[in-house]
Amino acid sequence: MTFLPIVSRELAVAARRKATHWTRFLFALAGILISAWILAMLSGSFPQEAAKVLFGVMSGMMTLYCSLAGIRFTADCLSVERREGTLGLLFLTNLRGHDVILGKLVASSVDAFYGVLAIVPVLALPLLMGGVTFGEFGRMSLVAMDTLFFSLSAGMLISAIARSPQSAAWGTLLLLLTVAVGIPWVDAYFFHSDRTAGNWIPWGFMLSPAFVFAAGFDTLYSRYPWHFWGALGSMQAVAWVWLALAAMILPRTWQDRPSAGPAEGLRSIFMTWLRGAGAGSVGFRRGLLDRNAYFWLSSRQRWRLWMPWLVLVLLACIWVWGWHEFKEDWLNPGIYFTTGIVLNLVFRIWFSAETCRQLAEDHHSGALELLLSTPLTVNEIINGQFLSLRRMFAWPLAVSFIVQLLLFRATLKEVDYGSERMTWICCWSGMMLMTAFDLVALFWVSLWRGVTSRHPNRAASNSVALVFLPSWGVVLMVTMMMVVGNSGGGDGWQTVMALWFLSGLITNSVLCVWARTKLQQEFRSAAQRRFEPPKGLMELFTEK
Amino acid sequence: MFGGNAALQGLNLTVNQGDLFGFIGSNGAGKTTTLRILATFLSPSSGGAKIFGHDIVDDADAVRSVIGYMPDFFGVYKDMEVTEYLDFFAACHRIPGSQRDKAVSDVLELVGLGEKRGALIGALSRGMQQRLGLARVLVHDPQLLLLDEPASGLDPRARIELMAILQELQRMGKTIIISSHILSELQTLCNRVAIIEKGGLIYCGPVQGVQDQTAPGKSFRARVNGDIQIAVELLQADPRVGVVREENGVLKITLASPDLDGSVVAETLVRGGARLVSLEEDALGLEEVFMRLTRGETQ
Repeated sequence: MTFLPIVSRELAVAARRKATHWTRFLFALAGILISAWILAMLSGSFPQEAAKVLFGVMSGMMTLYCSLAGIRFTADCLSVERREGTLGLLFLTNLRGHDVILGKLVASSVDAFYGVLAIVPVLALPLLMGGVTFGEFGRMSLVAMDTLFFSLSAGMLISAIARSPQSAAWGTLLLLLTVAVGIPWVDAYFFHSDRTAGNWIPWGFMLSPAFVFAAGFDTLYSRYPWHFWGALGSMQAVAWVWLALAAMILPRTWQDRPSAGPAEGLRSIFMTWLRGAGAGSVGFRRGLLDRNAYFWLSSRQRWRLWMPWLVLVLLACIWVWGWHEFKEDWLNPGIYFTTGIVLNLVFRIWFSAETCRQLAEDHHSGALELLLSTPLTVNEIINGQFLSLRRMFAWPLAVSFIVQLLLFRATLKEVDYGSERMTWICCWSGMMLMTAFDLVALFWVSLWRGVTSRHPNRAASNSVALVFLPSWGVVLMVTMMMVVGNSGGGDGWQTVMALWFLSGLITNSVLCVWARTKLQQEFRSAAQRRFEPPKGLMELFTEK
Repeated sequence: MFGGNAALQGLNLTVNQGDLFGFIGSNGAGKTTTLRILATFLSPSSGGAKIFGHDIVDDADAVRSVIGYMPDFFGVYKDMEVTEYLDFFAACHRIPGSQRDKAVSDVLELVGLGEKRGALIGALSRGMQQRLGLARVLVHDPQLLLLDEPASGLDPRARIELMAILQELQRMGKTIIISSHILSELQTLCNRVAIIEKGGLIYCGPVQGVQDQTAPGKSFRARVNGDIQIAVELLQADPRVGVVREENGVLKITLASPDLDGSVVAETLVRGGARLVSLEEDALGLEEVFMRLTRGETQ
């Protein structure tokens, strides 16, 4: 049990860290606020019904959080050590692969585990209200812990292989999506297309957190208890297999390998293609360098240019599949609007990640210090990053907006009467306008977070949280007050919508001014802080 | 100021154009802070500095165009080729596209990386990456080079080659400020040095000056035949002799005044009947001077 001293040391460090306690506090606070909002919204319902809804929403959100925890907490925990050359030092001691894996798993999971632990008491509230059984509460708590372990293990496996923070995060997401969504979909679509309650054995669903979550409710559990326990056990087993694989792989991947053999030749060709080569590459470099040196730095990996198009094609494929599968049922305003939401959400998060990526990486490697010792000005850096983002996202975003306009038009064709038509007009125009405002705010905030955050992935998630959460928080509070004060009449949604839009606009404006001022005035002083960002409340919540 | 600590205090020094200036101090003495302030990366809480007449705070852009700053870490883009890297930094220094190729080729030849122009930076050895760092700071032909521990972690051959390049640069008229822990090399390389401790200046001037300042008089190594203790007693009895020590059969003598020379030692020993076999002046090494002047205290 060599890993136990590591765990002991990491737990002692976590106990001294303010962020550990803040995480627990903020999770509990968020849980209480959301619960209060849901209860306020359901104030006219029977307590048992309200409790069921509250329990369903809270446990669903908890399961979603646990499913994605691996991306945030473990995906980069080993790869960062590999990049910084400290992984080898661990293997020069008596530590084995499994010691490092288990030690790192525990060390990286403390905050995630405490977050879930803080939510569990809130989840018990519906139990006291009635309508939810103790068995359901216990099963949902088990689902949360099992899913958390499953997701964190996926992150450990990818981290044992990956090098860059981006590949670690995307790799973990891909693995989780493949196992939790891809395999169940293949199983359902190809092998059980004639599914009925009697003959359907959902083997492919056994690794899906969504399935185990659904199977934990009394309605399903009372009929198919083994579905729940089978899925819970399968996820647990796969998580351990992933950890074992990570423990086997890690001792073989921490050393640099000699560059030889046919595989290396193919890799070299692939890398050259990714980077670009030949006269075209030189011309591209010269053209961009003459315009703005930072523009070239941020745009030099030409494969990034194609990624937004790839995602658009992927989303189009999913949409066409849905149309093919569900025929006319697919063509309705709800699906159109959901498509718009997904498109905007994907592009906003991606835009934020790309905005802060280069700055965060340069800050971490020290290259930003070298750049700032040249005559390159802060404005030139900001402008260069803008040009790079424009080159990468302008056309895909334009296509996305055109698609949304077409879907909007299709919606109006389907709904040609009174208040429902007005509802869709407000929803569509509000969403598209807010996306444009959000992109501007995300640009400035992500640039600032890129300079101040020590981790590229966290810089992006912090920026997205800063831009999104305030307006949704306002909506949460206002609707709660409206319901409690019984002021939400038939047109209440319009007030909420207007408030959401207004608060989003104000938040974005304030954030733009704040981040821009910070960049203009404190860029250099922030860039010279070597791996020690300032500890604000957000950092205490998000940074280790 | 870092927190409540003053990283530098009362540091007042002048570096002349064309100097190869050694900056010496213990870890945490303030060397890197000084260089980062000169590179306009940190703003001083109080005080100031001028580089070729440009104020580092008010005229920072002009300062950046005349300096080349090499920090104590690589900060390289490992996925870039050598030429791309230098081309990029040349563009950062606003060198027009038509002149960048020549500038890059020239510095690559100067630092001996001409054959590595197409190599990926991540595939270069530590010594080569250090040379590339030097090429980076030279690409815009700066008048002043600020080099923070440039020889750190290099093998003896790479260190010697780096020092040769620096001497060549000095011959080309560059002013170089170099901080290093390898004092024996600074002793032969630099014409002037500054020693700092706890952010304050202890000495600034020629290398020979610091040796003279440290020892009250010249030092000598002498060998005698016969009883060495008698020789020690003879020398200790002479008021012109400052300190006498015996190490492995060799007498180490420091005279009491800088005006005296080796004849004092010879005269005292011969008159006292000791059989003097050899007598040679013992130049005080920079390392020994550093150890005498500083106590290794940090902020």
